[in-house]
Amino acid sequence: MNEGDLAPLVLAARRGERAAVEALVRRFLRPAYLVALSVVRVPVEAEDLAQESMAMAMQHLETCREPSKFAGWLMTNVRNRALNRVEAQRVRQRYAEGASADEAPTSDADLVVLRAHLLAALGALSEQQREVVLLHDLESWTHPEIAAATGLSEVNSRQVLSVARRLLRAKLAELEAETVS
Amino acid sequence: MSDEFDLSPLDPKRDARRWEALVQRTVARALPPSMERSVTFALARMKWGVLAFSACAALAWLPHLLTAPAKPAVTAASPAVLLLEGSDVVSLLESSDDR
Repeated sequence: MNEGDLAPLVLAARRGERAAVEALVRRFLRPAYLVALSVVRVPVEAEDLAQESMAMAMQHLETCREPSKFAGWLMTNVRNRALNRVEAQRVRQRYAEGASADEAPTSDADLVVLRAHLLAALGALSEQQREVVLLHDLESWTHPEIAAATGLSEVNSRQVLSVARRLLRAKLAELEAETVS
Repeated sequence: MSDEFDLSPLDPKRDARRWEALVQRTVARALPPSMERSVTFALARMKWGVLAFSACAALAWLPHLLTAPAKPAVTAASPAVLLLEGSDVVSLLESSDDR
């Protein structure tokens, strides 16, 4: 992610240029989804939150005081919106009812199981650990980029990632052992 | 060996069609309807034109508003003066006072 080319894109989106809005959505919708997922831990809810946060952010771009720091500003909005959703207890209800029923069906049973294990393993992490590991290992953000989006220092980002991976491995091994037995 | 975790099962882009639909819905929600946008844009531009016109009009009228209205001057062109100049009425009036 190059902060240098971000400011002109944000300014163009502020002027209502569709191409710029679409470019920002394509670039940041998945990271927004991952940050939301780190909070709500339900993929369908995370999709909903990412879409809502992204759309609201585009409509209120004038409140982004530093266009070059759009990523951090957006992720803060996503995180806060997700936390509000959790507080309203809607996520817990849908999780209990089996939110996975709303997702697109897949014929790959192994993938379904692996996905469920990964989501359960992520539950063993703190919200910050989830966010860092998702942004680094799935979205391929660098530690400077993660630091800008989360407010952590680069050093802390590396430490959090290391701990998160260790916990994930341990939890996944536990879940796989349970499955086998 | 990379320490990186394979979280690709959680990647929402695995279902490319669903993800693209989400992107398009998000873009559509992010942009106001085009008609509204063009009217809003036109009104925004007009606002500055109206402000500029008002400022010019105020500047043009300012001198008139600030200066006091002058009394109309008696000039040689006034009808009364012309009549008096053209007649001996003044000398007649002056000579009648002497009697």
